[in-house]
Amino acid sequence: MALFVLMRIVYSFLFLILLFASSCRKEKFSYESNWITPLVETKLTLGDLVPDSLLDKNNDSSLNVVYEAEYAVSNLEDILQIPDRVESVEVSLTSLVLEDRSFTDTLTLLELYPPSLLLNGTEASLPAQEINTNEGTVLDVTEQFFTTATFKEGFIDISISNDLPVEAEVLEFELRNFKDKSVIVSGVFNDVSANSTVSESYDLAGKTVDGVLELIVIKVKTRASNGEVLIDASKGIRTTITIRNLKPQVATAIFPAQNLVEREDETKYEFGGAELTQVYVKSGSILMKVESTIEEAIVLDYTIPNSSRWDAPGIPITKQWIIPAAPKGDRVFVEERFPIDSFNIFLWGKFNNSAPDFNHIYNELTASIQYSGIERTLSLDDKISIEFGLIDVKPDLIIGDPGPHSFSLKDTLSLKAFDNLSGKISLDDAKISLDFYNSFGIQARIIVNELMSENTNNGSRIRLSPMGELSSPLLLEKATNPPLTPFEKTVELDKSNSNVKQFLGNMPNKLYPNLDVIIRPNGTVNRDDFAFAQSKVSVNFKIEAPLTIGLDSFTLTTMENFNLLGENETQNIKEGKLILKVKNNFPFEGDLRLQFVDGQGEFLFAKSPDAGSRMDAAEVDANTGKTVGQAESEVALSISRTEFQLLKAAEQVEVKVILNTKNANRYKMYSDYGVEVQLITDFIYENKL
Amino acid sequence: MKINFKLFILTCILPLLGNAQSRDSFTFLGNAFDTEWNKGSAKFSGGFMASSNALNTRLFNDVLFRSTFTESAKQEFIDGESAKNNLYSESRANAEYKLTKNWGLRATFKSIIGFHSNKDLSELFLLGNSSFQGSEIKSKNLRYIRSSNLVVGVTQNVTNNEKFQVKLGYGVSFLTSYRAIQANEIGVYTALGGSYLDVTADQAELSTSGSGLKGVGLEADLDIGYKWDKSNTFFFSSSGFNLTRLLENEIITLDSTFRFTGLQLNFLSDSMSIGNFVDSTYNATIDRSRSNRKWASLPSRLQVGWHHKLSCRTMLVVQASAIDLGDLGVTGKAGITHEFSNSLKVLTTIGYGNFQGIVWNAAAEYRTGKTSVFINTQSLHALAIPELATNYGVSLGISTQF
Repeated sequence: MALFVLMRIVYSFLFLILLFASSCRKEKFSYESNWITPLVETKLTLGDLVPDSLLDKNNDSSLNVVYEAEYAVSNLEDILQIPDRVESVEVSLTSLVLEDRSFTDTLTLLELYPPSLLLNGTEASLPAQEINTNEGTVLDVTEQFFTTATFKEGFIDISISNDLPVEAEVLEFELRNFKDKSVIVSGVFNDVSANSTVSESYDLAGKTVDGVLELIVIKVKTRASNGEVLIDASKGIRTTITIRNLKPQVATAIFPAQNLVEREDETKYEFGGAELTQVYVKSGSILMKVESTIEEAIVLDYTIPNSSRWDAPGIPITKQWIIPAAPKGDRVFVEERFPIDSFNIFLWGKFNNSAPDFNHIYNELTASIQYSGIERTLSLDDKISIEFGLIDVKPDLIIGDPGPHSFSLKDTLSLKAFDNLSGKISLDDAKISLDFYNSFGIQARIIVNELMSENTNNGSRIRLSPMGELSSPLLLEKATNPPLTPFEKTVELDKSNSNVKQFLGNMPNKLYPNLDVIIRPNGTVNRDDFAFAQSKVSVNFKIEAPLTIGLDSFTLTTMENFNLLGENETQNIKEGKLILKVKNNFPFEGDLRLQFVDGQGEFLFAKSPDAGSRMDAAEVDANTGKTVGQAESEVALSISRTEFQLLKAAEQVEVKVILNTKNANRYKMYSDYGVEVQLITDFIYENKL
Repeated sequence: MKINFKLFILTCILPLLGNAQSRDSFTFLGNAFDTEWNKGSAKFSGGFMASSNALNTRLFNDVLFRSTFTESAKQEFIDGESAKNNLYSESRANAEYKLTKNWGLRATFKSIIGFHSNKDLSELFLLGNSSFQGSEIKSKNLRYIRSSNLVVGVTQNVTNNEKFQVKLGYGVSFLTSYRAIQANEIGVYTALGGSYLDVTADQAELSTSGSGLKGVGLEADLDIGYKWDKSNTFFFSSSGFNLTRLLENEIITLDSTFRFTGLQLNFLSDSMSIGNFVDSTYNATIDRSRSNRKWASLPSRLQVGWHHKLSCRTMLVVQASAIDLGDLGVTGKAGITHEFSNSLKVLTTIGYGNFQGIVWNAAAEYRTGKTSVFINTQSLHALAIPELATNYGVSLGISTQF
């Protein structure tokens, strides 16, 4: 019993231990350790703060600030664009023709009077004869002429020649389509003397004629001969059928070569007042769009005779297209673009010695069918529609009168060099050079109404005044060519003729020019102004200032991404101190302000150095004006636990560096000036187990 | 008198005879589990031990039971006069089952942390270098190892007679956690104001492993008992001898001296985080120092002991042990065991180890029928004066016959 109780106690004890061990959860263990370590070191020179492109070094290593920017006022596309011009022509087969043709058939004496065979070559008396028949002679003109045709216009001439030695008292004939026996023409000739010919014309308008015809001499009545006559059984009544002046409504035939369209035209262009005489095409195309129901291949020839290749004068723009035959009952579409790059087109129309001699492009269009030897069915309902013209033309050079243009420019220029700067900077000197450049073969006049500068960081605005030579309108003469020689003019503003020192001392990051530009202010002589595609009117804006500066609360502000605490390890830093050890040989002292913001731009907290810590200015030698050695100082920023917690949410930091020279005196900056900074951190780190 | 003498002898002999039976009947404070090798018997035990020559047990308690170090315990450590800081901690769970008369099954899970270096360097790693500005802190022969492994295998009753008892155990070891750092010498100098750090590393190696299983190996144990005579028995034990094949293990070797004055950074143009900048600056150097390590041998334990019977129920116990051939500690103990009855036996020893300081063990085993329960405590005085104790531990065990 006691043993049982003891075992129960032991097992219960073990069970409780297990229960305690498995259910007991204590807080995660952590402890703090204190570390001090250098973090980063860097050296900043003037070249780091100010890009090399903005600095110019003098022989004594002192520096000038140089800033250049180009502002283009206009180029060719601002002045002129060549619009697309496409014309339409529709041609139907009113001009379709068939050739005149003749056929002859003879009804011999033998056929009329078979016994004449016995008398052939002899002289004998011929009795009067009368023959009535319904049998005819088949004439097949399919191969030489047409298979079938319905005529809108046309004539058939029937000539009867009586080669018999007797008079034909009555000749009655009929010409009909062999297939359906429909009568085309019929007629009677009376009293046709021997060895004479009679003719009659019949109108074919509205008639359908097959290529297989049947000529029937229905009745022949001859008188008896006067005595004995020479009998020639091979001679008889000779019928000649001539079909002429045919204009088919529809025909199935082998058509001869013929022009369907012959067109000459001068296409007029509108250039918004410009009068151009020549265009050198940089790129462009001839558009040819054809829709045809004609069952024969069409040949289109398009030519601009007054044009030539740049590299091969005398070779005009010419192009031929073959439009295939349309399927029966259907139509065919063709669209092609023929490039006309590197062609020169004259816009004086057909002749350059008659008006109008500008803005007109003379062109010729011919549409024809060639003899193919293939039987086709054509009808007056068939037609061909042609759209053609010049499209997407970009000129490389235009010559002519550009017409008067004027426009105002009120623009905003950004000067990145002065971004993020505020405070005051006093300059010893400054110069602005404006290089005007005109590579148009067109005069231009520029009127500068106003030039305003603004520092948007402090809202300070200063107008350039006086403006020196900019106070009067500037005439830019036209460039000359060949070779292309632009016109250039330079205007300089310095402290002797303007307030450029104050203008630039404002550290403007925005410039507001207000200009009026007049193109071709004095007209054009002989329409010989010109403009290349790359021509422009521009001004190169150059600022030069010796870097001799005095600073009074000169503030450089920059917003930087902050992810110092981005790594998991740095998340365990609880508090600490950032120590900047500075060795400075600039002649200005510095202060630092930090402002941390989170991912939404919300302010977290601001930080300034601990009391009394700042970057000291290096001492300046009064004789040389250069700093002597480096000033060593320490800037410490203590960050509390609360602030470190806030830092974890920080994604950006606004860094403000505030610089002052002693008493805001001006000092020359030298290229070897710099500041060495070492960042040391003394922090409490939470170690977690 | 004769009768008394005989009675006296009988009184001594009987218990002795009884003791001869009862000596082998204690599983934990005796070797009955292996000498009797009863088929169907099982033994379970588990325990934890933490020891150091410089860190006090209050600090261990803080880690186990609190959320941070106690200031007094931390100060006690800082004020300690030892030149070296040695630390060894182990937790273990064992299970063994006698399958047949000669074979058994066993499973062991073991987790160890071992560390030794100069005390100043330990303080620097623990508390930071800010208080060591202007001082050079060096340590020769620095070592840190942390490992956990599970061994599954068999035991074999090789010999079991009046003189010798030899038991072998072998198994497959699965390494679940492994990290090792060692160096011939590590030195850190922090300049006043923190303007630079001078770091010296002589044959420093940092071993890292990927995720998942860290290695597989073979482990063997050997226990030998030799009965010199009726009063004296010698023991030899080697446990945890192993060879492990490491999987995806990489070591980074550093053997240089360098001065760190800060990363060369251009604040105006570099926008990456400090961590990324460090990576990009030093990755190439670190990559050149990488190599693969394929084999490792985890710390094993050697133990020798002598038992001398002082009386029928009392025995003198002397024992010496070394972990990893002494690199992670050598301990010597002496004490006595006493059987209060056939059911209850206690042990108390006192000793000293270079990784433990003064160590006092107290253990008790109680038998009832086929079941034994066991408890062992190390340095109980740590409960009363934790700042002055430098080691403690507890283990529990139970065995039974199924």
